[in-house]
Amino acid sequence: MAQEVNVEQIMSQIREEIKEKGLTKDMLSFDDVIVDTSNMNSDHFEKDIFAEQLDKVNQSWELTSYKILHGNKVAVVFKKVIRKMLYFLIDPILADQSDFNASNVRLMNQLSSYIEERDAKIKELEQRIAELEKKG
Amino acid sequence: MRIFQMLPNLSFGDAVGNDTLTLEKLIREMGYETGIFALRIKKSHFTKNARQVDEMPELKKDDILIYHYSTGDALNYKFAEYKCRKVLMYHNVTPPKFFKDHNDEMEAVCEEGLKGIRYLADKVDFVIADSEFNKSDLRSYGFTCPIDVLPILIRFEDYDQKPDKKLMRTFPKKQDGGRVSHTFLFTGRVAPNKKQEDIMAAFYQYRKLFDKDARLVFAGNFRSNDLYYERLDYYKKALGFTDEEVLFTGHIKFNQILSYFHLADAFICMSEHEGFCVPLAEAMKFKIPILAYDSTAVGETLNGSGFLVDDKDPVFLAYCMHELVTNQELRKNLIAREEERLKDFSYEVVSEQFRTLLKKYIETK
Repeated sequence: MAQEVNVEQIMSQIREEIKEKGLTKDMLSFDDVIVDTSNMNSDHFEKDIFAEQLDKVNQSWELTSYKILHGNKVAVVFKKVIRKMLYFLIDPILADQSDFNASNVRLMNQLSSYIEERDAKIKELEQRIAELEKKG
Repeated sequence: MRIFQMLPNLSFGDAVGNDTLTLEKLIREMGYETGIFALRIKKSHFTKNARQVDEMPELKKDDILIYHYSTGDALNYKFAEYKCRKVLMYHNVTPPKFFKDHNDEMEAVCEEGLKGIRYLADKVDFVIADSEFNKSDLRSYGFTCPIDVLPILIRFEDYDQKPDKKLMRTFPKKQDGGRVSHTFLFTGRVAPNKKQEDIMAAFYQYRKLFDKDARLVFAGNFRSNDLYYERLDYYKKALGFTDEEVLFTGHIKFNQILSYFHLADAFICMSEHEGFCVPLAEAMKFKIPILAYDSTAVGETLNGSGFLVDDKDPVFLAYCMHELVTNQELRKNLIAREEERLKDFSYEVVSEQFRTLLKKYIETK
């Protein structure tokens, strides 16, 4: 069996040293890291987020295998050759995915129009109710 | 009499999957007809013999069905309906609170997992729990049947394989005045209960105070669109770390994981929920000193073989990390204790315990 390790004692020494030196955690806390999760996990509708995301998907639904290549000249030539060799495999997959994305985006645009129409209709009905209540 | 194992998801590489596959071999060696049945099987060389749950032959009254429990799934309820002897292997369920604001789906799955385990409280004959912590969890859920504790069965001989040569060769070892900087490691999937951010904060202070060229490796799977990972990535950048300084490996091959174990100077675990924590046993296997936060089953698994802390102050942790890599006496002591502790998890010891438990259960009719 190994000798007793006095971890407790080491920890007290560490605490003492930190206190003596007056060291504090002067840094960004993870709690302060706010990645906007509202777009992903949402329990209520926000028109601005909806419009912003709709705009985003309308711009990015189409996928292409073309990417600007980085590296030295030899590396770029090599990457170009690889890209040409893989076109036959990658492009049909990307085309299928783009088709699927396009359908989804169309669907979302339709939903957006539907929401707009419903909004207008509800507004109109609210107005009528208000008028009728005034009269009645 | 036949002994089958069932679980919702089977894949080689995760702790529950590996445990299931290892037990299958053991049960077969004991001379019983056996098989693994799962709803979702990640196909690999190791899982090729596993079959779908609906392919399970009709069970007789004296057959034994071992169900591995670790998550929320409809299968948890179906398990209760089998007309045979039922054994539960409980690996724990991550509390849903950890996934709040990060992953609604996982939060719901874990919620369901807790509901399911309470439902099974009076529907199983015998339970094998990975740790005393898991056992007490089950008691709190209302389990009154016999519960025995058995560590997860790990085939440590697999870790003797050769590590990835290229990674060993190319992993940057920066030198500062002839001194090679230290590498800290944590293995395990990127998940909010594992608290990778606490390791990163401590590492930030460590670099600031002791070793500006040190490295931190998180070897474990993540989904790039996972919100928790997104936050970690943002935090990493905000603290000024490059990908070389703090590396999230994502899914990597087994021999690459082995490389990181070979390269690491210390293993850091700040997890706040573990039913056993296999990576701790893995670090012991590689004689890497462990700094761990004392929560759930962590202290029990280490059983005095690690530098166990109950404080997550990054400056304090940075000092502990420094001690761990520079205090040779401490390292020697911790490694010696790890070697002792590892004997309790050896394949021979745990497999013998399993055989004894199973025999005892079979004889109690």
